[in-house]
Amino acid sequence: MPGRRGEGRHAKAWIEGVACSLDAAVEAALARLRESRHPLFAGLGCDMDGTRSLVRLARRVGASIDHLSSTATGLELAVARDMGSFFTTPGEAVARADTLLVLGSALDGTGTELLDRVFETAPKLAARGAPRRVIWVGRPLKGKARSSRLEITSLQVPASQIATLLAALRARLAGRPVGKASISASRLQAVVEKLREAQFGVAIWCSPPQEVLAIEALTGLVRDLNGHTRFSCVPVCAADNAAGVAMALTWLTGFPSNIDFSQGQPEHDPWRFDAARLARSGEADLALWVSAYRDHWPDWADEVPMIALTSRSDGARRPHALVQIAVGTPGVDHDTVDYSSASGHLAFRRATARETIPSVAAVVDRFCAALIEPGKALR
Amino acid sequence: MIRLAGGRVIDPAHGRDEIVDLWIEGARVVAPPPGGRADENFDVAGKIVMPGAIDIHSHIAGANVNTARLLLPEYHRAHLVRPTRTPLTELGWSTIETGRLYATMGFTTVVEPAIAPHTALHAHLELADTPIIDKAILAVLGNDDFLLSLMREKEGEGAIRDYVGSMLASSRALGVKVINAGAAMAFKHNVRSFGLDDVVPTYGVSSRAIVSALQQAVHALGVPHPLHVHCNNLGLAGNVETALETIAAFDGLPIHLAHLQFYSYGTEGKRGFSSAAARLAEAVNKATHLSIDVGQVMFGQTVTVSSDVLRQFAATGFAHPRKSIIIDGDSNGGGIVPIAYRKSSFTNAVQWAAGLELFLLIEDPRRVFFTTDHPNGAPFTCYPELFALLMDRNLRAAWLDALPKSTLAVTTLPSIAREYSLFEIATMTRSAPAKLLGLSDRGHLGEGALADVAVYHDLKDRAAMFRAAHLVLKNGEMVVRDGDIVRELPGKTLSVTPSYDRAVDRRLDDYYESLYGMSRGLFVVPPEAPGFLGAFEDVPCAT
Ligand SMILES: [Zn+2]
Repeated sequence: MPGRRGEGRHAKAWIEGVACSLDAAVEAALARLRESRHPLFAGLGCDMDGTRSLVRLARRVGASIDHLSSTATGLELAVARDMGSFFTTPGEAVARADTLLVLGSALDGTGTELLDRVFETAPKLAARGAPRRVIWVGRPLKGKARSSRLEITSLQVPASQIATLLAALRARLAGRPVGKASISASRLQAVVEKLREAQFGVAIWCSPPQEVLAIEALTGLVRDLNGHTRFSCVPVCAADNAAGVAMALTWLTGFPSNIDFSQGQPEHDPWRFDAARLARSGEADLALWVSAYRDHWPDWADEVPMIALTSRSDGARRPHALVQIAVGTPGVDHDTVDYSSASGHLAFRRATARETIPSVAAVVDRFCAALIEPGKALR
Repeated sequence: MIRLAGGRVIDPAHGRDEIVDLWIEGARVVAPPPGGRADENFDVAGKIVMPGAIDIHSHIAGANVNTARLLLPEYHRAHLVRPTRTPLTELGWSTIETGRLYATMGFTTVVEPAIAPHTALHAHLELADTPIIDKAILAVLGNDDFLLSLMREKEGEGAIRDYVGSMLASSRALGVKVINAGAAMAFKHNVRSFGLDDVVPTYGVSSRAIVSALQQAVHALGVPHPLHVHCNNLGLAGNVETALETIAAFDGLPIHLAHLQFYSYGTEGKRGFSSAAARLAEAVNKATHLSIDVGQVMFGQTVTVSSDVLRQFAATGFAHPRKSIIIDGDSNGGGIVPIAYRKSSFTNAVQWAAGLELFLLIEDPRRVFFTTDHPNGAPFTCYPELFALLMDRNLRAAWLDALPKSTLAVTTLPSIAREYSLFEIATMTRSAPAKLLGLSDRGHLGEGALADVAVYHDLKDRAAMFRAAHLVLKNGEMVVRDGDIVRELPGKTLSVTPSYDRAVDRRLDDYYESLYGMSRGLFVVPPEAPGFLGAFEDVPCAT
């Protein structure tokens, strides 16, 4: 493709740990890709361009493809897929939410970037003039959130009891009795009243996979609240452009993760097409590992022959990788589009230090150029 | 040079329906060269040759569509445990399949009509990954605090025009759509129903006023496509009154009403639900400032993907399967609600009949456009069946026989004898949409036209004919042969860049920083965003 961003003038590459030219590394990688019976594309820590190029290549070589956070992202998406849900954006949470229901167990007490924003600002579009209400569920709230702009209710329960607590709130909202709960009946009732009084409430969480039950309970609670008032959700997403990669995989294949192209049509199966399983079982005979945002390796790195496109940090060389090519950091070394946790949408970012080394897309497009005739209809 | 020899060329823009050779050089249609020799010669004698088809309203990309893909993986073709064959399982859920399937049917340009400006970048990436066909988006405005505040503060037409110009430029859209104007904002204030004269809480601005302001702004900017309107009260019994009022209210300037079938309901009959399409068609025939598309319902499983969040929330109780996603976007909304239209359902049968009535009773095929509001009325893969229904009254009669008898009492469809000709089909799907969108080099086969050409077998079975084209050329390149994709080239995305006073950009910069604590740059689509240069093509505005 003409004009692809981040062609890179200062490439760094190694074949079996020995420094070589980018051209030599690309040739060596191509030889491996050509002879592989079942390649696995894993990590997928890259921007939208990288993901789109990787899918083109996966279609050509019949690879399986799996993002490193697919388990967490997949479980969270599964709740929305099975139950439906209500979603809003970080922008609406900041500008409009008069009430925040925060599942704090996985969020650090000092707050993520979004929590800082909602704690430090007043909702300018809120219909209700009162201070922003925060209902904090989980482990105790530390540090920052002591602003006079906030009215905080803290419900301290262990992570394992969050789902039960949310179910109890849901029952009280429906006027049903609840049995023994970790929070007193009057306290529960007071919280239900606050939720009901919200004119536009937002639930915020960051879910580790073990909290699927809590997310299900929360989804049900938010749905019921919309019978009375307006309430919606903002999940805080995993790193390494997990949300962006899931979006691109969805539009390119219909599925957010764990996809295989060996039968031509994309197939999806979270178990069969799990990277660790494919690598360890020997079903995959070659891995293309991609981690452009940080120097990070899978714990199965030495169990399958590997081509690695890795973050540029020096000294990241892995002697065991067959081929390793250093790639630029999106938004630093090359212009990029990836998921912005600030806006909750895909966004374009200009490079801050332009084109020192190639982008994932630039390297993968070289593979594609060698393996795919331009314009050829795949399948 | 390519010659398509001896085909029946149907080119309504030039009033042509004749046996003639078509010559193509590079990406363009050219005059027959004197003593001409073709490098490639295709004998298309006995075949039908038309310009590539243009779909003005099909939800094929963007954040809401992608959410629908996530919600309904069971309807993806390759899903492991999928339901029995339905139009939705035949549908390419992916962008790749979307481009390929459209091309296979001879479509070469498709407009995605509902993109919130804040998700425009996402939509453009999806469109860049939709191969073969050219694309465009319409930017959804009318529910955002900035615009409503301009109106509340009575800042005047100039301010609104500059704002609309800026949003078109930053989102790289071809035109503007307004969806249940003001309702997405009202829904954030817990309003649950919203009509033309309802007022958005805290802004004191009516739906009518928003539509009017946007209609004027689009016109003043010289955007070729008139304001594209999704009216209030979609899907409700008796909503024909809303549609009639809307037609009457905005008669000063051109306007396009989307998926009118969903507003063609009366309250007659035992069940208080009837087709009022005949009344509506009569009003459309008289209103020459107006164009409409139908939003035909076809039977089967599908999913509704709409930015009319207030309406979608109300529909969640009817979801099938029983799950929905409701989105309160930054300055818009959205709802994804799956639905099954059943032949045995009286309501669905009335909807089906009402759509066909609109097609058949609106006299001028240049003002009625071919849509199923994909995927809301039916997936676009149903188009061939729908062409066949329009062209064959006996086929319609056979379908009517299979519907609940009570349907017949509340629709005029059984009495309609009209059958579309191929010329009328070509008008509705080729020449008219090109004109409506301001695309002067497509939708026709005159000299200099883009060589987007579809060649069909002239089959008695019109559905089979339109399902798989014999040949399709895109920009003069063969992309389909005998219903198979042979080239998968990237298409372009068409957009306008109207001129406006750039002072509004600086004002918007400040607005985003102060309201959201975010840079407006996060929402701007630079030309290189799709990952390669030349992804966009400019469509000129009137000056
Ligand atoms: Zn629509």
